[in-house]
This record gives sequence, structure tokens and C-alpha cells, in this order.
Amino acid sequence: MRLVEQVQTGLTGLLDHPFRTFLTMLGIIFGVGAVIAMVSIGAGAEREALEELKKFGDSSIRISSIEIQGERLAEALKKQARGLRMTDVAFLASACPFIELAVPEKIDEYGFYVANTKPLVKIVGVGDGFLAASRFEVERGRFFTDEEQANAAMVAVLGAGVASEVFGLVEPVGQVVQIERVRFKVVGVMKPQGAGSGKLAIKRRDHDRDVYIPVKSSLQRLERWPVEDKDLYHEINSIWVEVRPGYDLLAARDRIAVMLKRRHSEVDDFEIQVPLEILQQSQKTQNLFNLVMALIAGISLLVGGIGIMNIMLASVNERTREIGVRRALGASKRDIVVQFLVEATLISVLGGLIGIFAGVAISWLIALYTGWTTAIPLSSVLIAFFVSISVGIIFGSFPAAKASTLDPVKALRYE
Amino acid sequence: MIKTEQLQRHFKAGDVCVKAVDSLDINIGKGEFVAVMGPSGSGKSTLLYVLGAMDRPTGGQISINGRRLDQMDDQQCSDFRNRELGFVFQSFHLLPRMNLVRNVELPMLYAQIPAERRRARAEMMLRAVGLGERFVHFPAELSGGQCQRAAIARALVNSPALLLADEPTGNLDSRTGLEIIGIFQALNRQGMTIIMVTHDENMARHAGRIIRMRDGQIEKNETVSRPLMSALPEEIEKSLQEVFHAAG
Ligand SMILES: Nc1ncnc2c1ncn2[C@@H]1O[C@H](COP(=O)(O)OP(=O)(O)O)[C@@H](O)[C@H]1O
Ligand SMILES: [Mg+2]
Repeated sequence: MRLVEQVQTGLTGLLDHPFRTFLTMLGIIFGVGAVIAMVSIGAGAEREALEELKKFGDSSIRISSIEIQGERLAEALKKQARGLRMTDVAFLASACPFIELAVPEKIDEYGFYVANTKPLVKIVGVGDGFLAASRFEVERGRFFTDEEQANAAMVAVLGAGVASEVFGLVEPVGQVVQIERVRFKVVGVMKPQGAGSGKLAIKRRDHDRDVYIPVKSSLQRLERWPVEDKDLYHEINSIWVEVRPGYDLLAARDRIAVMLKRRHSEVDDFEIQVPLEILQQSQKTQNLFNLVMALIAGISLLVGGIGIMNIMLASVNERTREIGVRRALGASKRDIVVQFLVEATLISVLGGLIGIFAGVAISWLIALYTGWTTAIPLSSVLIAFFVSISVGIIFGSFPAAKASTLDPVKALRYE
Repeated sequence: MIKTEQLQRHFKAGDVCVKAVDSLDINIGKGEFVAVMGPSGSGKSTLLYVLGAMDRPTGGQISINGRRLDQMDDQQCSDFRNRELGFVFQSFHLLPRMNLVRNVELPMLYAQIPAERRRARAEMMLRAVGLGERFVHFPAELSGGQCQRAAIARALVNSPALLLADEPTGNLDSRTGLEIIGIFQALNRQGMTIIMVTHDENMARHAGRIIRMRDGQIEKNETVSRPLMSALPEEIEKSLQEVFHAAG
């Protein structure tokens, strides 16, 4: 008997008991649906992580100052430690051959005035090479030049959010803004960055609310009004380091840590983050999550499969006479095996398909109500589909074998 | 056409051995209509199933149309049943969830016949046995006689060489039973070889020969000198004739 006809026969057989068929499918539906939905969450997180990595780059190291105060500050000062400074930047650039770029970043909350408004922004003084190290891009105008940097020029580049909030439809490039008492000329606007999702363990402020100025201008032209010693301890907030291609990122990190620590008189006043490593760690968490999912999937599919086997065994019993009749009319053992395998597989595949749709719907609802990024990888759909087929074949084969080995004469006489 | 030598089918259950069929030598020629009679438990059904390639002999030889049944594997037996044999049973054995056309199509499914031809031929066979109005009815909606006629249509649909019937009139009243015998006789007149197990002396008298069995052995093998005739409605006789001529 041809397979197409077996499938037709099987389908009509299943439709004879639609409710029973549906109940039998439930295990597979739940298993596949849950897995598709959970995988979509994991895949969404992974996609976000990759995008994040694209932003940070896979050769970046961030050195950030750690604020210290009170007794520890006094102790550090006694040791002649002076926090994270411009001299650290120069030192790293010259002492470490593996460093391609070391860019200082100094973040302040100076007063920022445009016309009569005072939007809340971060005034970020950055050194040469900031664009390359940050992988940020300028949308309008330009970034400041090395010359302007060297001259501590009064030029500023606005984050996209600041620009649109302050200037709206007016062209910001060429306008003048005031930082504390000093007037700066706007020479460019950055491309929007978007805020980090916050789901990853990498700290990211909203760069769209940054106002970039040359770090020298920040240090020399803008006055800080120190209230406490701790505000004077660090000169800059962080250093963006780019490692030359071919060098091991983690080894570079360790080397920098040792050298800086020595310069800082062994005071723990900075930390070093490697975005790639953090992402790899979140990848590991993700892998664990995937493993747990696979386990849950396996268990629910096992339960679903056992449900199918159970129903198929009952069906073989119930249809013993039918099997005898079919054998008398010319069905071979193989035909009977195929008939029951096809039925079991139809149950599991239809269940799997319904489960896939349910999973996609659930993932969509999750994205809608939680705002998480979800993604349905084609591979998860294909795997769900083929696993469903296999469940049917595996759990259908015992009942099918049982059906085919029935003695035709006994089957025919079975009451 | 059918020849058995020392055919035996023993059932072993522990120490007990039931000799359901024991050392049978049977010869049945092409075109014969043979009735098999005997008390209950004498091995009639067992013999029929062994001849029908449904059951395997525990000894001896059978050949049908020159084919050695005792040497065939499952696939060969199945093909043989499908193409060369037609079965008719006491309780009809139509599949209850299928309408008549689909029931009659079944043997053709296993013969890989394409769907349109299957349907056309199933309808033709049902018409031939006088069930032209009943294609989409289910077995439960029909009388016993109608069911048995549908079962005959199903048995004939692949143009078998041999028809095997196990008490085909056992579940029917005598008038309806005679109708079925009438169809058998008509088929036999078209050249069909028929072996029919029956309890009923009167039904058996419609065959050309009666094999009487007892305890798995042939007690008596008698030729019926003048078989009884069962009248058949003319249109059924004619349509059966047409079917046979169409089949060649
Ligand atoms: N599968 C079986 N196992 C054991 N004994 C069987 C089996 N089938 C039939 N028999 C025995 O074989 C004998 C013949 O049975 P059967 O051919 O059905 O007789 P009949 O059809 O003449 O009434 C009986 O004694 C029956 O009990
Ligand atoms: Mg019997």
C-alpha cells in the first residue's frame, strides 16, 4: 500500500476519534510549545548580546575608576595614590605594545545651558581616538580634530537625544551652547545609540544624552567646585582601551591590571571589564538555560510519546479484528507496521505543528507584554518538527510491531 | 489446481497436541465448487485458513496453481491472498467505520491500484451483487444478506482464482443464505473455483462435491450427482456475467 494512501487512511482513522486524538496530542503540543517559547526567549537574549558585542567590539577593554572615600581615601592619599589620571593613559599607551588605543573619558554633570533651558546631560570629555574606540558614529557635522583636542578648543558634539531635545528641527551644527560659564560651538551630532537593554551585565549609560568635548577642554577650561577630597581623587572616570589584533584579550587585561595597580600604589581604585568575556559568561548562562530547556523538552516529549504509545496499544487491541481482516485481504506485516507507525507519527507531527504554532504565539505574547526581545530560530522549528516525527516513530514502533506480529487467524477470530 | 500432500496443522499447547488438520491429501480441480462439512471442531476452518495462506501448515505440502504455499514468506503469502484469493466469512468482517465502497476498495489498496480505478471497480462490483444503491452506506446500516453480498464483492474485486468461504450462510436466515449460495453458483458457472465450509447439509448440496471431515481427517469425499440449484434474480446473474467478461 502506498504511503500517501496510508496517510489518508491514518488521517481518517484519527478523525474518527477527534477528541481522543487531540488528548493524545496534548503532551506533544505542550512539550513543543513550551520549548519553542522558551527557546525564543533565549534566542532573543542571545541576539541582543551579539548586538551589544557589536557595539562594544571584541577587542575592547574598559578601565573604570572606583570611587573611594573616608578612611580608605585617607589611606590611599597617604600612599601617594592619585586615582585614575591622564598620565595613566599616556603610560599605558607607551608601556604596552599590545595597546592600539587608550582613550580617556571624563564624565561630569556640569550645568548645560541652551537658550533659556538647562537640560540634564553628561558632559563627557574624551581623548583622541574616541570614535574608533567607542565605535560610535557621527551623524551630522563632524567630531573634533586632534588639533582642537591639543588646543583645548571650545567645541562640542551632541548626543542624538540631546540634539533633538534641545534643537528639535533646528540644525544644531553651528549653534552655541554654554557649559557652566564657557561657550562651546556645536560641530557635530552623534548617531543615536539607544539605551542598553540592561539585561546584560555590562554597564552602559544612555550615550544619547552625552555632550562630548575634548578632554583637555574639560580639564583646563571647566572648573569643578570640589566639595570633598574624593571628587579630586580621580582625574578621569575611565579609559577605553583597544587591543591590537592578534593579542589575547584576557592576557592584556591581566597585564594592564598589574601595571596600573603598581602605579596606583596597590590601591583598589579601578576595575577592568572585558565586554567579550562578560558576553561569553552570559553565553555560558544561556547554554545552561538551553540545557535545562532541552531536559524539560525531553521529559515532556517522553511523556507525550508514552501517551501516544499507550493510545496506540489500546488501538491495536481495539482493532485486532480489523488487523485480521486487512491481513486476509492482502496486507503484509509491513503494511500493518506502516499503518500503525503512520498513525502514531501523524499524531505526534500534528501535535508538534500545533505546538510550534502555540509556541510562536506564546513567544509573541511574551514579547508583547514584557518587552523582551524574542526570536524564533528556524533551527528550533525544524528540530521541533523532526523530533516530533521521531517521537511518533519511536513510540509507535512497539505498538506497530505488536500489531504486525498478531497471528492473522487469531486476530480474525478475536471477539 | 489445489493439491495437498500429507498436509497437517497441529496446535501444540504444553503437552497437548491438537491435530486440527492431520495428513490430508486433497485434490481440487479448477472450476470446482466444493463444500467442506463436519462437526464443530473437526478442522474445517483450520483447513480453509491453511489453504488460504493465512495459516502455515506444520507439515506436508500445498500447492495452488502451481505455487507452493508452504514455501512462501509473509510478503509472498500476503500478495498471494491479495491477488489469487477471495475470503468470505461467517460474520462478514466488513470494517465498520468505512462505507461499502471503501470496504470493497481495500484489497485494491494493497494491490497498488490507483484511486480512480479503485473507486470505479468497487462500484462496479457492488452493482454486480445488487448493491448499486448502497455505495456510501455503512455496514451497520445494512441487513446481513446485504453485508455478505458486499463482502463477496470485496472478495472478488481483485479477480481471484479461488474463493474461500467459512460458513458464509451461518449468520443468515435460510432464504438469504440461499441467495448467497445462488451467487456462488453463478460465480462457479463463470469458472470460479470455490471452497465453502458449511454446517448446513442443504447448503452443501448446492456444491458439486462434499468433503466430510472428522478430527482433522477426511471421513468421506463424495460427489454430488445432481447439485441443488438456487435461483438468482436475473439482473444479478447478468451483471455478474458482465463483470467476468470485463475482467477477461
Ligand atoms: N490457535 C489454536 N490453538 C489451539 N487449538 C486450536 C487453534 N485453532 C483451532 N484449534 C483447535 O483445532 C481444532 C479445529 O478447529 P477449527 O478448525 O476451528 O474447527 P471447525 O472450523 O471445524 O469448527 C479445534 O479442536 C480447535 O480447538
Ligand atoms: Mg469453523
